[in-house]
Amino acid sequence: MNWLSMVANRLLWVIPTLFGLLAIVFVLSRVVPVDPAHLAAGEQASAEQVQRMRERFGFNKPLPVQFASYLRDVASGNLGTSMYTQRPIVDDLASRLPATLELIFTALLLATLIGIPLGVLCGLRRHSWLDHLLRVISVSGLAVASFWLAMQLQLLFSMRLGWLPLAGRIEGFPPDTVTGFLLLDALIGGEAELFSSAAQHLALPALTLALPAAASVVRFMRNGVIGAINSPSVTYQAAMGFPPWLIVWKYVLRLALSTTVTQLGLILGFLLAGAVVVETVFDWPGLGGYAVRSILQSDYNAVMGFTLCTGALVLVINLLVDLLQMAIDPRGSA
Amino acid sequence: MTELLRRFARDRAALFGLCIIGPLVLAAIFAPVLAPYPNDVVDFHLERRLLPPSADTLLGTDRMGGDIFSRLLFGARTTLTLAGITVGLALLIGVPVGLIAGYYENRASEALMRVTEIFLAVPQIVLAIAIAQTLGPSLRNAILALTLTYWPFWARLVYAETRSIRNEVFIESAIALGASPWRVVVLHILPAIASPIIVRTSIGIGATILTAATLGFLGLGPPPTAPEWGRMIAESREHLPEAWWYALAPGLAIFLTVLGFNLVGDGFRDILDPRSRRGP
Amino acid sequence: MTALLDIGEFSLSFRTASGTAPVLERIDLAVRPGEIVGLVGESGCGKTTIIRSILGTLPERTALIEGGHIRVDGVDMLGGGKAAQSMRGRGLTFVPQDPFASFNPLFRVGTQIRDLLRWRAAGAKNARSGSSRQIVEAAISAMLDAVQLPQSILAKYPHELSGGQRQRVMIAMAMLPQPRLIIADEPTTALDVILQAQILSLLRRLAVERGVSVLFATHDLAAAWEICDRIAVMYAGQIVEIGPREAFFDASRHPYTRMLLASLPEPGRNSEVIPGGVPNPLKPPAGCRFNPRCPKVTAICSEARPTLAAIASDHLVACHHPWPANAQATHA
Repeated sequence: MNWLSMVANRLLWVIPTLFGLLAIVFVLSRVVPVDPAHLAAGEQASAEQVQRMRERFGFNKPLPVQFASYLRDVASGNLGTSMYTQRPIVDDLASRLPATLELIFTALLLATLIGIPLGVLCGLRRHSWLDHLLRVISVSGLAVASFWLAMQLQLLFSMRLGWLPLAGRIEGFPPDTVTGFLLLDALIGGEAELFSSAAQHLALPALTLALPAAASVVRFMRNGVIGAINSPSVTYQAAMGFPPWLIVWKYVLRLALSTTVTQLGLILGFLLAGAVVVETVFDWPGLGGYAVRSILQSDYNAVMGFTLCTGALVLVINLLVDLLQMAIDPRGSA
Repeated sequence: MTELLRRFARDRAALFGLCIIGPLVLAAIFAPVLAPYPNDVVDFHLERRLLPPSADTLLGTDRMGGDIFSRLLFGARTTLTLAGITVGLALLIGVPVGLIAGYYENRASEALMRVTEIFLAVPQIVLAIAIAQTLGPSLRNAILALTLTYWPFWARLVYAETRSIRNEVFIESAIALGASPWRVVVLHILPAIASPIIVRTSIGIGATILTAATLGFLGLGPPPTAPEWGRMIAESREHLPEAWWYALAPGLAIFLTVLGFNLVGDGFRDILDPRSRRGP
Repeated sequence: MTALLDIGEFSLSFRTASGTAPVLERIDLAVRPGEIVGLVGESGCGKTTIIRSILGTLPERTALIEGGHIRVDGVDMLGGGKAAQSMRGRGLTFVPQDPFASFNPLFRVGTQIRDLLRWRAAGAKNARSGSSRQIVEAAISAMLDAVQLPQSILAKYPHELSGGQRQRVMIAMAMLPQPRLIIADEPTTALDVILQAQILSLLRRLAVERGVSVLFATHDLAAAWEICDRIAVMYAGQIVEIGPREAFFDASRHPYTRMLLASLPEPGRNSEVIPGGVPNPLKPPAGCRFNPRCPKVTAICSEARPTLAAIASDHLVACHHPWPANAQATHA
């Protein structure tokens, strides 16, 4: 299967998947025991005010009609208005997406920078003390509750040592928006102080997210390297006298990377899920914190918008991972 | 079978996992006996709130003056009940769905798997939070929320495994001999794919405990009166950095429990999955 | 004439979970310059272990060298020294059993060939500079012609090649460093019969043209007959007979060899099955390891291991009771 037909096939499935996702959340949002109109109108609202609210949001119509009109809005790029921020949800999401992406990509970068070399070392020195130690650490890394780790890091680095800020994304006014990634924007604007502030704020949340991800990268790389080293192609090259460094750092590394890349979608999904919790603890102004707050406040239009956005993000990530996979492995992943 | 047990016993990591889970289950069962202050689950003693660990209160006291150690023991009950029932229910839904979708190769099974993919398209924690919030915070609703979000994992696993052996000779011959689909699935396919299910179940319990704790942390787990590790950690936040012990014990409890199930899962994988078995 | 490959008194064991398995017992084998020697035996008799010992690809943690030596062109191949490492890929090359798995699937065929030449082949030091890169390319291009492959395969990935093409590339890679000795481990088992014959005759033609020696391991007597000058027969980790090709097929002396030949299917004759089974590698029989299955067995066969002794010119047999030169097989 060539990559074009793969992409087309995938995109064909995006619509029904997102449709299904919206349907599930929509049904969920309408079986709520609390009346959202009531909530939105406020506690002191009269029955009349609530009724007006209900009509304004269309809560008085039958469910399928509501869903159909919601879908019509979505198709025209309108996700509705948040009942709490009173802003269009599209704007809310757009302003928060870069923060989440910055966090996730930084964490992914950290996880690969830590995980790949360590995983390769473990695979090469199988059963050495380093391998055993890292096995313990990586199994442990996957067992830690991220919100607890986040709090312990805050306790140590922010409260006790005072090295890093407790929460938030930046001190003072952010740099001019170009990419939405504060680190990059500060660099582009040449603002060293803002860059350092952004980096300091990013450090703890990114580290919290990266540690369990690094743990799984170590495991995947280790197993990939061991599998590659035991493969007949490596035996052949060793028998033909290829220098060991060439075998390891060119041929084995690529084999191990190709198996790890298949797990990249999994790791990114994992990071996205982790971001929901980590953003809440660190007050990071991203999608995850927005989602938790919207859910807790029964702001269901916002929840639907978030679901749509994340669902699309996950599908796009999976598509990109598959393309990367195809680029690395000429045999094709199909 | 004895050979399998012997191999499991040689795996020190898996044994260590069992050494965590075993005492934990006992602690949960005998919590009322073991807890020094069994009434602290509901009682509060404002005169001794936020005390650091001492001989009297081993792990310190919480904001209500409750003994953290006692609450921790009762929390084990909550956690194990929640994870056990959730994973059991998720298996009850996921395994049949996966088997049916894997056995029949038609549009209906295709559609069934698409539904599971929809569930997998957003982070599980988000769905779980949304469902738990919709239903209202209680132990039963947390179980329901987690079950609804976790069954697709088993469905997908069982589906993939069923598909991979669907065309094996021993299945084909059973069908050719006139065995009913029901018989083929239960007597031939299910035993053949039991190992990955067992492995995934053990690791799945760990993942469920983590998500459950997250629900508790966000205030969506069992109500405040029930001791729950995630909620205990959430409560501790406003008392940091002074009450450093407050979050320490429940966090470590979550860590050790999940670690235990993961290690046992790894051990099962090593002995049950011939592909990962170590060579001579 | 001194031997190019010289294996003497070589013994090796594998540590297993249930004990130590003496896999090779006092192997004596020599390959002379320009000669093609077949190493014939059933699967599991130790052929591949001998080859892996020469190539230095034994599993480090389990293989135990008990004694003896292996030299290629006078260089000790067992110690893992620099000289042995530099012999591999230069004076000594390898054609693997499985051309499907022996390529790295993620790199183009050309990359894998060029890496071999850049880092290994004679004059490798200056092969990385610009002018000699052209020499490398010219050598590769000429070799592809010699193995009858189009130049276009260099840009292809291994999975895009057919089985026969892959094995031709393997032969090209074995020939390119201009070695003195090629080790071929069942190079045609993965191929169909017609391709087998083509690949074998290609290997023989190139080896003879270039005066390269070949040690050719196979379980297939017919394949050995096609291309070998001399043939060595192994049974359960012991060499039982070595002789010129003609002597081997017309006048073999060891009972095992005779029975092996009789087991070949031929038109107009039922093939005969060798009674009994291959011995347990953990507990091979004492003395001659073939004695439990041998029609001519006597007491001495399980007491003393027969040594390889010359029984005719260039013809060695390790047997207490070899058949006379002209006798027909009379077992069964």
